Amino acid sequence: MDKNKQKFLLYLIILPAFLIFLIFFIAPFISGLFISFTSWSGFNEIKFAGFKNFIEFFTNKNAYSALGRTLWLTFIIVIFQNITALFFAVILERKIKGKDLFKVIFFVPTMLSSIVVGYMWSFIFDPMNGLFNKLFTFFNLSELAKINLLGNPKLALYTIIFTLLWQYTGYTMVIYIAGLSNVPPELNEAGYIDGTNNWQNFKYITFPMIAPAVTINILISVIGALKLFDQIYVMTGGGPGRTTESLTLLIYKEGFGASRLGFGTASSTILFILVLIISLILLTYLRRREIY
Amino acid sequence: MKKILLWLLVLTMCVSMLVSFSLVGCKKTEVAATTAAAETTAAAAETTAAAETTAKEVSLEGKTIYYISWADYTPEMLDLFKEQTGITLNYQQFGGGEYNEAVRTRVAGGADLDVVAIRAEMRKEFFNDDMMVDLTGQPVLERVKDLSAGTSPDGKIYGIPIGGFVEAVWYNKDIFAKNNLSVPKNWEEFNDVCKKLKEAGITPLVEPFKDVWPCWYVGIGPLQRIYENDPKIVQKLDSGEVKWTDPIWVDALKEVESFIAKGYFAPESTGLAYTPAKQAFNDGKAAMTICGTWNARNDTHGKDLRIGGFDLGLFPMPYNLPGEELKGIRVQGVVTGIAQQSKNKEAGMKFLEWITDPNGGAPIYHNTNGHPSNFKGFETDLGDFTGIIKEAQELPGVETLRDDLFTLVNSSLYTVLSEMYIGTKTAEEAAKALQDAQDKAMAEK
Repeated sequence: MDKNKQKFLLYLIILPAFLIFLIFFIAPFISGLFISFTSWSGFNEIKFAGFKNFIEFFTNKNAYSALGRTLWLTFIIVIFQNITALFFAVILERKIKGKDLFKVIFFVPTMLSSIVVGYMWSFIFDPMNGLFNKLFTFFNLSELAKINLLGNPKLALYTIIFTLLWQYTGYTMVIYIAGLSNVPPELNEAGYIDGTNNWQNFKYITFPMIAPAVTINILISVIGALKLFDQIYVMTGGGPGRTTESLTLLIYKEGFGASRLGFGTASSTILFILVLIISLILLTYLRRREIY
Repeated sequence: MKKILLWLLVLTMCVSMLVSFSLVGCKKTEVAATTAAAETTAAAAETTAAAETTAKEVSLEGKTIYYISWADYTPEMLDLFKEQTGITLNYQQFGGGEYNEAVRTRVAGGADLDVVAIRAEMRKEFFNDDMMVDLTGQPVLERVKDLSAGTSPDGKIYGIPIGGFVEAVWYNKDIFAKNNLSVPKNWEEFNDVCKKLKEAGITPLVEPFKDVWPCWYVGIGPLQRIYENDPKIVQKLDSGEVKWTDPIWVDALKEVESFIAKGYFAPESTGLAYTPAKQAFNDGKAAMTICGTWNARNDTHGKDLRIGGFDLGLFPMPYNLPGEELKGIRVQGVVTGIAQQSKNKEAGMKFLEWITDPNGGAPIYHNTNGHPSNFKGFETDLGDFTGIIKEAQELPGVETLRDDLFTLVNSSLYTVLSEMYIGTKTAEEAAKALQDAQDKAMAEK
């Protein structure tokens, strides 16, 4: 078979998958982009609205508050999730008893559905009959029992962040463990011979060597946090007030709750661009410091 | 070779774009086509002789209808419908805040949908010939006591209200007796009862504010009174004659603000969903909970409020000022009609006939949901709740304002009240936010 024919055959093989991708991913994206330039409720006549929806996004207090909240939430999740996961990974990479069991324990929450996790923690945090309430009441810690974690405007967002860390740290940890297992032990040994302590070994040898794992973990956690919806929807619905309303929740509320599909889709487009820009910047920066 | 591949790529892109645009554009064509089809069906139905009915019923056997509602159902209900009509009922239940979105998504997506329950706040959007089948003149309507919630402003009937409720306050009679409190008959007395309870160290009210819609109850007194004083207020808001930022609304919202500041609601309310909040009331952790007579479910199906443990009582929500008549704030039942996009309108009509029939589905539906009946010749067995809610149900009624306001500003109404409750919005800011929400909704429509 000549080269051209072989190429043609290869393209022919990927064509069905390519078509499915176009129809189910590219086509909805293009139609979404089109809707974002209209004022459409989902039922009425589609009217072209130009950049009105995009301008509204940046002048609507609720929208840019949701954007700010999403960025803040993403920042905290990325920092804490990666630090905690790396800490656990380093500990579990050492020769300690029962480390495999701990790996499983930390990884199990990742396998649960985010909706299930949301409901589970909602029950635990129920301020009147939840597990926390009962536990603190049992130990006569009535002041702690009264804390309304998901109903307090100042605590609700951080409570959600805690549950997200609980769920996803194990996943990040596994990637770090894979990275750590690729670091040649001789390098650390050489460091010790040269008189470095544990911290210096980690800082100057291990951490630079696991840079690819850092890149992938940061990217995954950034993208995941920016697109976060399920847990917030289940645990607080964006409340109390709007104190936990993320960008995705705003998109849902405006698009479906208020029948403003045009504005909702424009907000989705902005979110897409945001995810794309942040991912590209991070990827460029993090790739530079990787060692092969 | 490269050229061929390039052309192939361009062609596929064009196809995908065509698919995407046609998905968006076909909606209106579909609506128009279904409207025309519906008109034909309606016209045909009118001229059909009674003799043909039996033949039609036979032809409905084996059909499946898709029904979306927030009401409860049991497998027995579906079996009974199949047994008595030969039609399979595909029941899709959505509760809480997702319902409106679920219906809109199905309608916008052209999904299989025959029978649909319409929430009050959806009436303005759905009560028209493009969305729903006009039921005016259908024999099934003769079985219904009160059709007002299913009637559009132009007098056409688009739905059958199954059940009818009153906004009310459920209270712990034992706590009231212990503190020498009597049932309040107006807003002032209600505030006084709350004050005395709070002074006695008892939490006056517990509400599921986590679900957002119950945030209406922080404003129910002052806001409902506006409607009582001016029944045309919603139309005036809709036309722009009255603005949310006008003193009439700002003053009412300020009154709401001062009611919130008194701290009569359990602090845990913001973290409580519907069932845990009712559970808290059942456990005696608060003296009252504002809700509706839809909480009156008999012991078999009861899951909201519990009879036993303490003496349970109910009084109609006393929103009125002293000297004004207390009326029962009416909330519509499950208004059920036939979607215009239905491919089985006759089977859908059969369902409406069945659900209203005392010998058909009315008993099993009502006993499942515990809804006070709105059908002639049938009363729901609510067990011990029947006596508790009787007085409130029989009061002269006034329509609830919340549904109409929701229609104007969508969910912003509840969100704004929720923001007022946690103190992130003042009365003036709340009024402005509501006006903004209405302006945007109007601009889209």
